[in-house]
Amino acid sequence: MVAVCAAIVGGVVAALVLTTGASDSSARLPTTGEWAPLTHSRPKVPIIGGGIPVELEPLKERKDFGTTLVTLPGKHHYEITFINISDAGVINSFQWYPPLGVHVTRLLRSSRGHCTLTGLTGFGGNQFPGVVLYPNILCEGVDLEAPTCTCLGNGGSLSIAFTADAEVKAIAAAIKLRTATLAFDRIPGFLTAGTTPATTTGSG
Amino acid sequence: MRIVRHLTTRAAAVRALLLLAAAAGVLALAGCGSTPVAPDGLSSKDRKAAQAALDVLQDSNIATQLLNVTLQVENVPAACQIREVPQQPGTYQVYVFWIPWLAVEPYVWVTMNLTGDPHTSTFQLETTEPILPGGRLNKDGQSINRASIDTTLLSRYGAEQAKKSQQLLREHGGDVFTKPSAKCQLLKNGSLRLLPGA
Repeated sequence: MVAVCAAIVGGVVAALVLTTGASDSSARLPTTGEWAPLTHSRPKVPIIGGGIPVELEPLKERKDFGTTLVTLPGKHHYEITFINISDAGVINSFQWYPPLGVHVTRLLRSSRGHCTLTGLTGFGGNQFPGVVLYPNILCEGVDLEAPTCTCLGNGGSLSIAFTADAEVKAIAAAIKLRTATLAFDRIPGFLTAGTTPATTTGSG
Repeated sequence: MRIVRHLTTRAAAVRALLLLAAAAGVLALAGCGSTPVAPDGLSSKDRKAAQAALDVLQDSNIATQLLNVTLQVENVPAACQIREVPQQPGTYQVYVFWIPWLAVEPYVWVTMNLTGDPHTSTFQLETTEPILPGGRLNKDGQSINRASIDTTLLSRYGAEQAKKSQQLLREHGGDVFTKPSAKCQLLKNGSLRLLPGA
């Protein structure tokens, strides 16, 4: 009888150990320091009426593009080249908002992907069907290759030729990354002595 | 005769007791064959495998980008979810979604397909169109200071915007929230950790 009871107890103990012994591997990860859950401290600024009445410094902006501007023959004809300088990876699509006071009247060509003039419509409950707010150029399917080092400016590039209704003096505008295929390996921001960056497979 | 019957009855009782003990032992040991499942649908073994899939991302550019997005939108992820792809054991779908603090910043999400091999896994970052690309009005009330950014908080748009945020969160996640599916958490070093399945 004692032996039987011992066998039962032993079996139950074994069952408990076997079924709960494979503990969550997540429980084995450290939980302090850099392994603690991420928290985020926002700038300490006044908030009035749902807005912030002061400048936010430093500005948290992504730096994904380098740009150059070329004036083409003809009145207000220009070509902008966008270069991937991002540490994210391959840029698949983005939007370019022209400088204030400048409207792009026609897209002439783009060297890759598909670019269109776009903006926000439906202003005033769609009472003004011709009105487009925040006009911009949306380029999709551009697949700009990632740079081998963000310090080299050798990422994929895309050129857009367009006409505008005013002089474009500088590209003092917003470029917003929309989609990207992230690279698994880190893209360095500087080269160390003795490293040779691999060449990219070509640019726009 | 009576003594023999007594002995037989007693033997039967002992036999029954032994059988009962054996059955209890078998039932107890049978617990080894079944794995308890948490409310999120994952067993302990499933969770271990899912965490191992996430651990591959440690110290990679993916970890860096998850932190960069958090910095950009000034908010920790509103959702982090992992699910094993049905019919593809060992392949995991991971979804991380951010709701921005400022209205001028876009909603951002990263979807991953983890195969166990970084070269065949995919990592896609996507954003919505920003609501407002411009900055704050200058003193003349007619032009925008391009050196500034619009600092309207997204929360200013109220309950409707909050509802839209949740709608976008679910919409871009596809079926990642379908059980068995577990929540995860972004850590300070950019790693992802599975949360308990309670």
